[in-house]
Amino acid sequence: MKSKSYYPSFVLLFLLGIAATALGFFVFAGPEGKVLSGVLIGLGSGTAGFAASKAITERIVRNNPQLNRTIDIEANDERNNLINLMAKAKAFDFGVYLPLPVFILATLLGAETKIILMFVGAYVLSWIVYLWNLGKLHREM
Amino acid sequence: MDNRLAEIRKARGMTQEQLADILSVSRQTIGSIENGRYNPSLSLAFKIARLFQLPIEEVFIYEEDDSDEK
Repeated sequence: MKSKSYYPSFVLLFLLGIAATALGFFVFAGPEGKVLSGVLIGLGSGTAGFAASKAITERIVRNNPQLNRTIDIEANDERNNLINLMAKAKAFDFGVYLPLPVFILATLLGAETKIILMFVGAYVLSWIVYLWNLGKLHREM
Repeated sequence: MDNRLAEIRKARGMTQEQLADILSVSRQTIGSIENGRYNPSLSLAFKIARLFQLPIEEVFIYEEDDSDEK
């Protein structure tokens, strides 16, 4: 069975990324459009890079079924998936403690309260996502 | 959990690559199972046993350890 090709979509995404980068560089280049320019260049170049890598990979894989199968096996291999999940779990455990000294340091350095609260909010949100998934998985499994 | 995968595979004249290819897993997974570093999922264990037409307990040997004696 022939798998669906996303090549045209990636090419379109690449062109959109280039267009956004160009807009950021040339259209909003003045000091008044500094923030918008930065956002467009960042998002545009990131999107273009992602789309280009996906398009090139699909092009290479399309003409090489053996390579396609190898990539597929590596992506779905149960040991690889378990290793990936364990690595992510360890990173989350690390991330539990990492922000705490950063919050204290930011407070001591006199960072704006709204900035600190924004980061605290993001930190709390990550815990809400964790607890929500914990409950969901307990119900499902 | 102990297993006889390496012994059975070699007796059938198969390489790790060939076995991995048939089972659609990576060669590293086969190597790790053979070395006892990784215990496969139930479905993969059954796939392996069926491939060699053996009962699962002839491929994978479960030994109780202290933590199981409760």
